[in-house]
Amino acid sequence: MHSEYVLEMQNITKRYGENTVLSDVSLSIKPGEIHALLGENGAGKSTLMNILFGMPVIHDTGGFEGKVLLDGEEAGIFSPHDAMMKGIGMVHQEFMLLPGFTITENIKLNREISNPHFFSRIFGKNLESLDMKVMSSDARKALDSVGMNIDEYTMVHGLPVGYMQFVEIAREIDKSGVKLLVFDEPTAVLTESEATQLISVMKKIAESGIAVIFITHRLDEVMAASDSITILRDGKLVSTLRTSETNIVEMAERMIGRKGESMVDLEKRENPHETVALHIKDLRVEMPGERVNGLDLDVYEGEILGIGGLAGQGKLGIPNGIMGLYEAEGEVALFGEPLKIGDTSAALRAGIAMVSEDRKRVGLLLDQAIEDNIVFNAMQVRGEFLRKIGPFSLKNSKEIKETAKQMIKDLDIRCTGPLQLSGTLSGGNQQKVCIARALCMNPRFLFVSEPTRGIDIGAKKLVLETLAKLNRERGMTIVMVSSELQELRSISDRIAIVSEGKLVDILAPDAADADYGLAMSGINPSEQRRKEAAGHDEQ
Amino acid sequence: MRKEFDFRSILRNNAVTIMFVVLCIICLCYSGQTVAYVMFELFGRLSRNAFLVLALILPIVAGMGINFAMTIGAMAAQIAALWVVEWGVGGLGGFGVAALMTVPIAAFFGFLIGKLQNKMKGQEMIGGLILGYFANGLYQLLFLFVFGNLIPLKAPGLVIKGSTGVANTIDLSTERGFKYALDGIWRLPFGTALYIVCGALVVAMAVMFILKKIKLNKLIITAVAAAAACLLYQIPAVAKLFSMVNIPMVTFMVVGLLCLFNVGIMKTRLGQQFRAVGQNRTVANASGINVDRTRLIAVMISTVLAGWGQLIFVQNMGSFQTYGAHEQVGLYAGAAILVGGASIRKANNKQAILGCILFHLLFIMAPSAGKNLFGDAAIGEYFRVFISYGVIALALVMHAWSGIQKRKKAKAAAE
Amino acid sequence: MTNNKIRKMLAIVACVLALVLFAVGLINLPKRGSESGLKVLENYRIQAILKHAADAAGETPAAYAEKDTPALRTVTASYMDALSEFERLDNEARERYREEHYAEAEAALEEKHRKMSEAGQDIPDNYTVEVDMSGYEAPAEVKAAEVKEGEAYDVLRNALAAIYPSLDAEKGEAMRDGFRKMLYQPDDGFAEQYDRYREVSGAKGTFSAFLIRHADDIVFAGFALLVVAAMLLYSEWLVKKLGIPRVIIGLFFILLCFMTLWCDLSLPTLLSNTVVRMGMNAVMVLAMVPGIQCGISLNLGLPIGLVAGLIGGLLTIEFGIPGWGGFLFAIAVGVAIAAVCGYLYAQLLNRLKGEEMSVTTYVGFSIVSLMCIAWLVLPFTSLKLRWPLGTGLRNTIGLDSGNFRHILNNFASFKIGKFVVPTGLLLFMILSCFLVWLFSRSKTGVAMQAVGNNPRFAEAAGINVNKMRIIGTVLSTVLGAVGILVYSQSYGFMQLYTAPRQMGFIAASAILIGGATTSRCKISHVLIGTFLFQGVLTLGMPVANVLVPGSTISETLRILISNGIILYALTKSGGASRA
Repeated sequence: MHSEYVLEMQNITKRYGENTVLSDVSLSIKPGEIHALLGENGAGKSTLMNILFGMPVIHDTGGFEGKVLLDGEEAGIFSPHDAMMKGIGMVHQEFMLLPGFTITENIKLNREISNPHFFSRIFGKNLESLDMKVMSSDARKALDSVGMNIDEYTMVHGLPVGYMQFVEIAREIDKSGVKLLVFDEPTAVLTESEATQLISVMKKIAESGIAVIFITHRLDEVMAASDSITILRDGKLVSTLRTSETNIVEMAERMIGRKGESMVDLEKRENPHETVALHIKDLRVEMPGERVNGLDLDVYEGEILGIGGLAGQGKLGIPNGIMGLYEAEGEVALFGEPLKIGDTSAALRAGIAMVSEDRKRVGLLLDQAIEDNIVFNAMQVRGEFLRKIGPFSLKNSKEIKETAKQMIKDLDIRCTGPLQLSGTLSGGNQQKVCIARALCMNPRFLFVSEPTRGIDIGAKKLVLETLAKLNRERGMTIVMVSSELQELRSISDRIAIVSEGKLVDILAPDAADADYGLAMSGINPSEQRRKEAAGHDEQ
Repeated sequence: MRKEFDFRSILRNNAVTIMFVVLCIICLCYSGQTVAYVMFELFGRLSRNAFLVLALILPIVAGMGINFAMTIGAMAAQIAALWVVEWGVGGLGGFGVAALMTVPIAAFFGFLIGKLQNKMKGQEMIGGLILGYFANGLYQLLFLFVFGNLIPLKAPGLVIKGSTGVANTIDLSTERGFKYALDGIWRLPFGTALYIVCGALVVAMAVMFILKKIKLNKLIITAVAAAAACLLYQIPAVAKLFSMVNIPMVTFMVVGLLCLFNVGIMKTRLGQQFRAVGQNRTVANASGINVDRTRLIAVMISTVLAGWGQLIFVQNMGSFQTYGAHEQVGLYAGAAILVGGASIRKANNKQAILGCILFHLLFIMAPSAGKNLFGDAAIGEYFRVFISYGVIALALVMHAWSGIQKRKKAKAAAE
Repeated sequence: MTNNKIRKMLAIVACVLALVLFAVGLINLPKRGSESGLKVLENYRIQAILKHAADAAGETPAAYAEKDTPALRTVTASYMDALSEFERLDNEARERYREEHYAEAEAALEEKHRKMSEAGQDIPDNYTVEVDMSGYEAPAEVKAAEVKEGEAYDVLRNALAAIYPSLDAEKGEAMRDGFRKMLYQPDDGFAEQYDRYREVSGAKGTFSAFLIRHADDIVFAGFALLVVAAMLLYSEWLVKKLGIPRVIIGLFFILLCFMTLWCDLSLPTLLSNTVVRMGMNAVMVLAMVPGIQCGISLNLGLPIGLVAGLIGGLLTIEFGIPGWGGFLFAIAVGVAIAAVCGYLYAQLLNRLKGEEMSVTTYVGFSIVSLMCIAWLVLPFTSLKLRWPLGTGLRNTIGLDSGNFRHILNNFASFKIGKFVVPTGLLLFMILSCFLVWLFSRSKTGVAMQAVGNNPRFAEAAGINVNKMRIIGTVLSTVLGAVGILVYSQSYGFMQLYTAPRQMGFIAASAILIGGATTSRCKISHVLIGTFLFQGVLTLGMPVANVLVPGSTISETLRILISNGIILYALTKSGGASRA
């Protein structure tokens, strides 16, 4: 039985243990249609794609509920290989190409065309010899269909990034019987002209009858390329739209939505705007996957500034760059005094502390005791907790223990004692240990990066309350970077949205959802309004 | 300007090879040995070592570095050789039985090596080295306490009364052994061998041309080169250099077959998988290649080949040290292939053969050069051991270095 | 679940068996000194005497039951008394003589070695000072005791001659030595006498006699069963807590302890040897600690430090600096050279982050073979170091009391029974461990450990990662230099050429056995690991020699354990992911 849809995903629900990441999501795509999949980080896009591709991570955790139909028939995809055999292809965000192979070899990787001969009849198909001529003519065809006229014998090593993306696409197209192609953020690494070309290739592919799922955060590209749109939020299907019947603002609004009430009760207050605590000008940070590309920002003394934006847009690069954890350049001044950028210990000595987003790899010494973690920076940077004995300065266990106990009490760290290994704590408590270490430094200025990543709701609330308390009671200036808009809105005085390594806009916590959605897609909301107003005027 | 740059990069990329050429020339000047003698020694050493060096290529291509665990293959061969002597299957038949017996034993060992190395990806070389040491312990247990004790051996000379286990040396030159089983089949003086090889090469190329597998210019180049070699040999002075050389044709044919095998397998699906896995395991895995299995196959083939190589080695030597003959196999073969310009990620037949030649040239000449320069042959001996280790250390350092440099460059390019 | 139950059942069975064995053993053990034990011995003694005399007379042995008369027993007993009195006195006198002339003999031996080395001969690795006994003359009291023994013997011979008519005076005199050896040996115990008499007489044993003879073995078997029971009960917990390899090696060590007891080897002597070998290896193993802590993982390039230490030792001998001064000088020079080399080595390692293991191994190997050339060409002149004929330094250089041979071992050492405590060696080991421990608590030490633990964490705290790695590598190399000197003074020899090549592996495997991983270690790992590893080797050798005489199984054992544990660590540290 044939259906008018290539792919139908019906009522998909997926749980990881207690945690529901997708609930009752449906999606259907016709042949030759370009379907955009939109959503914030953690909205469930990648989980949905993992289900489609039968990734082990899905089947190892108990599978999913709901149906996946291909051409109207139950698909039964249990591994990426199954998906490939059934005609589903994926263009990866990071390139899956071998630099030492020619374009042909890459396109035909593990799908080589080969001829049997004497030995292969004995030892099996793997020893068949390759038929390079047929392989390269196939590759040529595929390259032509994506509009690339580069020689198919060229080594991939040394190709420009944009070309690699097209080779990837050519490889997917070359797979026989491909019905559905998924593009995962294909334009993220491309220049503007390459991105335009890519969209036209995508349209060409769709014209040949292949359905396309287009995952992106760039709303203008969605408008330009797609026929229909599915928007996910918090694992739920928000809406399925025809592109022709909607506009950017509507999409942005639906993508964000309001997710319940504020997580922390705080009194409203006037934004403190007197002294500039941190002045950032033209900051550039080379953090892989989170590049900052010329960002200007002022942080005022006594405020909590939130920095939001989608993953990979550079918001994490800001604190990491200023603290010198990645190569950075630009002007930074702390309370008017210029800060040597790229020097971690200078930043620490100047009174900036940071709680890293990567608790396990940067934030903690997992194999060491809580107390050692808490006092580490204070000991190394400020020389505290040490006892001089002759030429040696040894650590002062007594003082360390007292401080650690105090911190454990103040921040309510649930543990068996200051000697417990930090690696054995729960996520929320680990986060508190990181905060405790920052507090031990008595900082004037605190960066908190993704403070609630991977910890449960109750712990989230506690961490946020702690931050608010530090700000209100000690007057500490805090910059909080987070992917969760809701938590930014809960305690921030202002929220800066970053996209593609640049500041888009600074919004008030109670600004409209659509403004946030637009800003996250890199469109300045007020400018968009003006444009629309201009458009209306012309009419 | 541009030319100079190219020259420099050639120098940099082939530093080890060039250094070795220079060392060989220095040694030749000071060793006081005649070229004829050196050539005689060289061809002897080539015939017994080339196979071992060539056995290293596959794991390198599959991204596992130099297979130092090849000593285990050599152990398998020695187990087979012991039993062939025990059964008294002499001559070529004995060699054949030993080669056949080596296959299952070495393949089984290779399987275990591969399984273990799949558990220590990125540390294969040090793992292989230590695995070789570990296996050596087991091998000693086997030869000291199992063979000759639990399993009695009857052949004369295998067990010496009054000491435990198998004798220290196993002699293959008796009628029970297979000394010169391969070498002795067909030996030719250098000149005749040269004519035959050149003739065969030209004929083969011509056939290939007729079958339209190669282009005309390649045929012509081969023919001219062959003719030039034969003509050059007509000069008495040149001929004299090779006067002592006697070529064991069959052994070199076997080596040639292995070269063809190495080339041939790269043109199959399996070869493509080796290369893919060698370049990037993640990408290979994503495209549906079973990475672990591919690596396992590479190590298994290499281990079996190493076993055969060791058999060729011992049939040429005529006897072997029961407890020591295998120990340095990995070291010398590994150093040789690196000298030829291979790295721990890239290797081919040419590099293996060239490396084998250069490395053994130095081996032949270093002791006497050491004696003439410093008055002590031991210096030369130690020098060549130092060179072996040094070359491997250098290759590892350069590999690690270039990896880091590449990452830096990629970073710079991203800006 | 059932598996668990079976294990519990087995453990209980083992416990019950052990209790039975304890009961049997402990009941029978005191019998050795009591009436019944003496009676057993006497029975066998008479049988042995009869057999021995019959052999000497050339007659068939008389039926024991008939000839075992009370008269013969009294005669035998009085001869035993006279004999043991004489032997005791004689041995004491000889021991006195030996002590008086020991220094003389030692000097003579050193003189001989000096002459040997001048003649270019190699000094044997293991030698003992033998006192020449030719000048010994028995004092009067010994002579008197001998006369008494002679008289008692005549009585015994006559009694025997009554049984065997052909036993004349001449034959009687000929068998006298055999009697002496059979009836008395120094440090005679129940078991020794029992075995001797049984061997001579070929008499059948009785079960009760067997129980008394093997009472100690039965008790040991009881202990062994208790260990087995404990293992069965706590196996999971132990494996989880210690890891499989440590459990296996620990069990193996315990097994070897029991084996030595069963083979009637002297466990205290062997344990004493183990402690000495632990002391001599511990500093080298300790050298792994800063390496692991600063994140270069196992420092298999340790030979760099070892070679530096050896140079220090060579210079001491070259300049002929005696005693403590020489030892300290050797350490100072070794440390200085090691620090410089370690610094350069660290610079190399800092450029190769993540690939240290294989590089360090081969760099170590290269250095060792480079130094092989150096040993040949370095301009040392002392004949203790050089071959008198030919070039270069000797393979093994014997240390003597003029240098620092046993300087730590003998410092304030004392004996508890057969257990020799090498106080100086142990103190040095403890001091080294203490200093390293102290360093790990200092500000720099804490920072260094953070670098090893998590370099990105350290960077985020503004720590210079490269600097810390340099400090760790230099410390490791320096400790290696000190370690080889401690090793050499205890061993009595300095080994040049290829000897240091494998030592890095031995040290690495010791710390791994102790419970360290390639990224984590503590001082306790050093001590436990060195003790276990050296213990297995020291105990393994004599036990293996009893089982398979003349074998090199101990060396094989070392190869298997040391490389096996490194392999295990590698599989744990390497990524086991599929891709």
